[in-house]
Amino acid sequence: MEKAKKKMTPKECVVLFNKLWNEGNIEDFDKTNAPNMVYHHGDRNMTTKEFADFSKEFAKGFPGNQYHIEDIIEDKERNICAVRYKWVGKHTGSFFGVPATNKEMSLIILEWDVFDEEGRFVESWARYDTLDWMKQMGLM
Amino acid sequence: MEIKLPPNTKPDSYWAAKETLDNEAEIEEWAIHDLNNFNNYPLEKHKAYLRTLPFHKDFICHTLGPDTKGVEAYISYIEMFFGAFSNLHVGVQNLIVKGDMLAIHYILSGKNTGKFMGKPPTNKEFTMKMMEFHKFAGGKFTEGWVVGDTAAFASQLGLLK
Repeated sequence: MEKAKKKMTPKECVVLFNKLWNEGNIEDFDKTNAPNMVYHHGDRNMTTKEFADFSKEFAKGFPGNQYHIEDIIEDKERNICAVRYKWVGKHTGSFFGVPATNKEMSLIILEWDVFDEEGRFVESWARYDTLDWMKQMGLM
Repeated sequence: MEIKLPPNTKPDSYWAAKETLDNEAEIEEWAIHDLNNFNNYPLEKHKAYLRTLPFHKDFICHTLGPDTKGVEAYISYIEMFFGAFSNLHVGVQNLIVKGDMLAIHYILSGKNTGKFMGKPPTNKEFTMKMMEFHKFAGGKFTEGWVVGDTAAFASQLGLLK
């Protein structure tokens, strides 16, 4: 498992992870994530491996989906940052049992991240309007 | 985990007299003051207090409902929420201020004791995981984004079919 070679700032880590996600480079998530990394999505907590599996499924439903970083607030002393993203994707494949709608979708996603001393993610919380998401998916 | 906010050290009148928030420390102190007020003020006191906030006249907020444009639209939105819910409490997980931006990570809890979205009160309690992001220009709020797990919120209130 390749580790980060030098300490990153929170912002550098967020930007690198964003590049990995947008390029579908799931195998390299360990470059940005500490071994004990936990993703908090709604009531779900995921390890890096679980999150990578989730992102593979995600990419089947939304091939080429992209997170655009709109703003990053970083506090290097506390090793934390908040990120505002605009997520966009087109639902062209089956997504966790929901058949393709071929609709373009977008969401505002706010994220709270905590980093270790090497500048790697140790915890990340993602928040978005989940009802809006369900409406866009045609689930209600 | 909820953090314990420090108590307010200045009266509302101090912040009401300030037309702009001029640096990071001031934005952070004001934000803590605002969160303490949110948790402790009754509706009528909060309404008066809202009008003293340093909003830019064209303040836009991307709320959990429709976007609000202008200060009065935002205040109406907040008042609607306060009218529909009681025992509202913001459990702050963390907050960060840098430059002209502020973000707050929190859990909102409350009880649906008033009419909400045309429906009678359910008297049910809710908790909603949320985050906010605000931008300033010239010391005033210009734009805000508020997101949260609205599906869990609606489900707890029995509003999802």
